[in-house]
Amino acid sequence: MLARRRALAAWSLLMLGAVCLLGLILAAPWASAHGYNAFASTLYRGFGYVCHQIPARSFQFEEHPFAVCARCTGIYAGFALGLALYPLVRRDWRRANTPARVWLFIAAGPIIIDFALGFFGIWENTHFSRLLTGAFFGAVCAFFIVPAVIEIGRSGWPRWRALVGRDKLERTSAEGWMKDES
Amino acid sequence: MNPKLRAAITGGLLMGLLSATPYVNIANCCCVWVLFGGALAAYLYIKSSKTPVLMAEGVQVGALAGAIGGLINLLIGLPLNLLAGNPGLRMVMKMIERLNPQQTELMRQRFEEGASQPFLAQYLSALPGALIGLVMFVLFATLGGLLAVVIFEKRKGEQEGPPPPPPAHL
Repeated sequence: MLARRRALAAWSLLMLGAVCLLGLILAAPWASAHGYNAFASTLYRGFGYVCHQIPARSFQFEEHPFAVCARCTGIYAGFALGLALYPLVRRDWRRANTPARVWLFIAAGPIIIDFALGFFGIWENTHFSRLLTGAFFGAVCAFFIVPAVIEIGRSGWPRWRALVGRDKLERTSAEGWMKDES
Repeated sequence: MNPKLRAAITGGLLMGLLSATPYVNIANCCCVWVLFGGALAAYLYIKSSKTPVLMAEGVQVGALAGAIGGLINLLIGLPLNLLAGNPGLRMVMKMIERLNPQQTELMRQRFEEGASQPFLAQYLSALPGALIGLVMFVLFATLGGLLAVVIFEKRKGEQEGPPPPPPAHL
């Protein structure tokens, strides 16, 4: 019962974080368009650490670019979508097991192909292709991240204490933690 | 030192220094150094661990490496890039100029407004954005740590016990 509740809490926390990130991405152009320049600038700078933010490669809202490029928007949106679908797609979603790692490479494939075709001038990629390839990768990533966070939800705070060496806890497997909880 | 902490410090230091160095940090426009730092930390931990590393541990090591790297970037990278005249932003502006000259003018105005202020004012005005950047560092390094466990940890089968004995010849 406790394990189920913790898994649900972990998933809810992730979902909240993903929605907040998406909200901030959209808030930047909105704030810029409505004259909240300091707030918009803070958001643009913050996301600028992990995205090139080239306006020509970003979606626009009221003629102001999103806080991240089209591909990154796809990754964040796909991640949120993947999170939302996770409990529906996986029946055993409270168990901390990931899909086969090959899915990760399959998900990265379209991004690499889309980028390579554009880079070598074979095909000019579009906002839509960048969004779609990013969204696919983001959605698949969600299926790897949720089990990891559920695993942390099960093991809880003691592992963090062990991480910084404040506690001499023995390393136990996830199954061990599950037994303790039951 | 705790092996997790050692791995996180190594990954975080490398991530922070690469992200703080002007021109080199341009690769971070695709989160390269952040993902790399988190993945390196998790990889080092996998190598040092005698037992199979759990995904949760990869997440922890990656997150800690991201926090270390983000702090280094905040304390060293931000002032260094301001002193160097923000070369990364200028390079991006040149790139945009080729793609869309109209949009460059707006960016150039913003950039010149910021650059005309004294150093401390520039640093303080860049600080809130850098704090959001710190959060992004933690998030993406966490992803790097997780991906490293998924890709490099191949000992998961060992948890299930030894393989069954070969069939006896009757």
